[in-house]
Amino acid sequence: MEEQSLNLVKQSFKEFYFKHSDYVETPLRIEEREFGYMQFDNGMVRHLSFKDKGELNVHLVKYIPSDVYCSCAYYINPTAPIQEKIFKGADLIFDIDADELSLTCMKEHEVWICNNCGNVMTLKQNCTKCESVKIEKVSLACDNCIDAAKKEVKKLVSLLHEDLGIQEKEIKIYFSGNHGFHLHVYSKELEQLEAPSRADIADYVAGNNLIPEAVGIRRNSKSVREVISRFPTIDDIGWRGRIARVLMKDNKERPRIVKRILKNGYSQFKEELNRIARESGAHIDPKVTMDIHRVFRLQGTINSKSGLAKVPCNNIDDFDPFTSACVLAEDQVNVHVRYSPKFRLRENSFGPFKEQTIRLPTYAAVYLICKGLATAV
Amino acid sequence: MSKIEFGKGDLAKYPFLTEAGQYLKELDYSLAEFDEQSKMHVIERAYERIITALDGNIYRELDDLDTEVVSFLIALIMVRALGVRSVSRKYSLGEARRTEMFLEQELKHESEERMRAILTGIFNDLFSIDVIQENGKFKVKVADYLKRASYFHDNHWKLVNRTVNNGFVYLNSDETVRLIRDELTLYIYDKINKMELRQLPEAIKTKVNELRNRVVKDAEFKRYFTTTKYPPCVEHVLQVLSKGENPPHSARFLLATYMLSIGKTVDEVCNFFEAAPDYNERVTRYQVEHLTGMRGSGTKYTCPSCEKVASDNNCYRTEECDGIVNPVRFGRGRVGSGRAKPESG
Repeated sequence: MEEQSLNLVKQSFKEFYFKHSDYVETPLRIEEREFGYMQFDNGMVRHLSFKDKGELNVHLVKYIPSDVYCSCAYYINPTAPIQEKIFKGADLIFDIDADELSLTCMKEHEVWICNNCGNVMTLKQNCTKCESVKIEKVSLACDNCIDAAKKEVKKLVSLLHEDLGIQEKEIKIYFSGNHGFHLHVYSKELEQLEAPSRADIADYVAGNNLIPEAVGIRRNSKSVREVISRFPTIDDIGWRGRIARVLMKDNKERPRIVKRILKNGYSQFKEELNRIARESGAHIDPKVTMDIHRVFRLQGTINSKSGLAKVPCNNIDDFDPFTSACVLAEDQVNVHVRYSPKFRLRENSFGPFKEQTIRLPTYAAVYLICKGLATAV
Repeated sequence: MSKIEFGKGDLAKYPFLTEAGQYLKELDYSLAEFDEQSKMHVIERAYERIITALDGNIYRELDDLDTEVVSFLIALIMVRALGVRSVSRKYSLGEARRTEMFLEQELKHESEERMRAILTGIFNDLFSIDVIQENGKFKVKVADYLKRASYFHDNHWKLVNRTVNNGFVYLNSDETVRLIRDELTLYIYDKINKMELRQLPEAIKTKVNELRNRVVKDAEFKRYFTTTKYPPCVEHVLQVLSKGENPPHSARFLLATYMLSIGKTVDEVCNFFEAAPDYNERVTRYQVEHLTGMRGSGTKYTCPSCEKVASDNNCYRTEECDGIVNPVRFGRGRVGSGRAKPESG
């Protein structure tokens, strides 16, 4: 980012942390957490610890980080090197990103930026100006993206609640500040789980690694009667019931369904099962959930990929991230926009723009600068 | 909560229970008595318990209470006196499998009350798992299940393939028992290590020596097959491990990916790490399987290049390394030798 744009973004972040420190949430058991932050021009700082919110806020205003992170884990020595921190437990976390949902609307609002010269292209190709191969995808989420991500959040909450027995009051949902949502689960029982167990939970909610045997179909299954005795009904609990409800509307259909499965064979059913699981499971990033030493974006801080904040969603249906998470100032500033599809922030619609210098509210200007689509002038 | 007592007959099946220790005290045995001819059969029985476990089998005898409880104790003493970690581990596993066999039978066929005694006395008291009976099935809390089953390898154990509802995982009797096998093994292993060794009677010493001869012979046989020459960087990690020190993460990664690249199995690779002071079988296996792509994202990790090994400070290059760019090429083809590279363009 060139200097003038950097100054604008930094100034707007600083003003936010100075005026709106109430947005920044104090994580539970703050003194046992490791904090880290990304600097605008100087890499990552980790292994920090704050004893209270006041100390944290002073740090934010003083150093103006581009991104602020906090460990999902609780440690005895949060500031020690990783081997010496001594793990006490960790919140269970989930990351849902609309960018990973293969949505058809994506092509309307994704662009490719050359990392070498900043050229913006609407197609994925080598840079049309400098021929560099180092290009990066940038996407401006639309309402459709957010709605799709919300559906995943709801599926996830239902799996966590109905199957894993996690109480809704133990789950906190946040907009991530870019294209998705973060779920934090605060459960005493699950806190102690190590990475492999968390990977197992991630697979469970995503429906990964479901095997036909789980619904009674074996490689050598031949007899319909024998399989029916093991095959789930639509009233079953857990994944078995979930699969049955996709395969049939009524339990009377079981013999017909089992016959069809046996006729088509084990491998074909395995594929069908994977497809059902993908659709019924929640699309999460399993790496985030299984990593117990991850520092995760702190609630109430700004995401430098967009200039929007990570904010809580108390009512997921009514939640509008383009209003609730748009927290920067309104003062008008001049920017040169290389290219931008249409986007909405607060009640306003902007763009599309192409190679034009315009006057925008700070929050919209910073949004485009953070996306790499505009520069301050 | 009132504790449901096991009967004395149960102690023959479950000689590791605290009650068995109490029973022994009542019998008032002294170790010196084992030099008497009348006790030789107990020593023989203890030896048999160990050998059966080392051969990978389950010791199925179930004779009188005295013989079973006392031979278990003597076997612990013998394994402790031998002091070979792999033997302690195998013996513990053997005893755990024996217990598993009895528990499986009992959870299938016994009365409600008897079942409650087992679920309370073994599952809850020893291993802090609440197992609840529900319509002929058993259920355990998700966290209790995951702490154990996430380290099992069969897909059948993955949470997604289980019936899970409202925070509980449903299991049949065999699965319920399998859940605690590893902990039982550790529990018995721990008992061996806590054994205090005083002056042993000659009869037991003789049997320990017999055991030692047999174990050493097996070990030499294995060593003969494992002296393949590895590149110096890999040799160095093995040396560090053999001294009982903890090599850094990058060195462990090198060792594991190298061994997998040359065709070693996950089991064989895990064995290399056994000597590390922070060795944890479950974690090591999980990590090695992760490298093979069997777990996690499915990415299969390859052995790092010599350049990367050097940048991690793990390179101990010798002349024999000249010309290779990856440790897996050690002792094989060299760059620039043999076949010429095809010309580009």
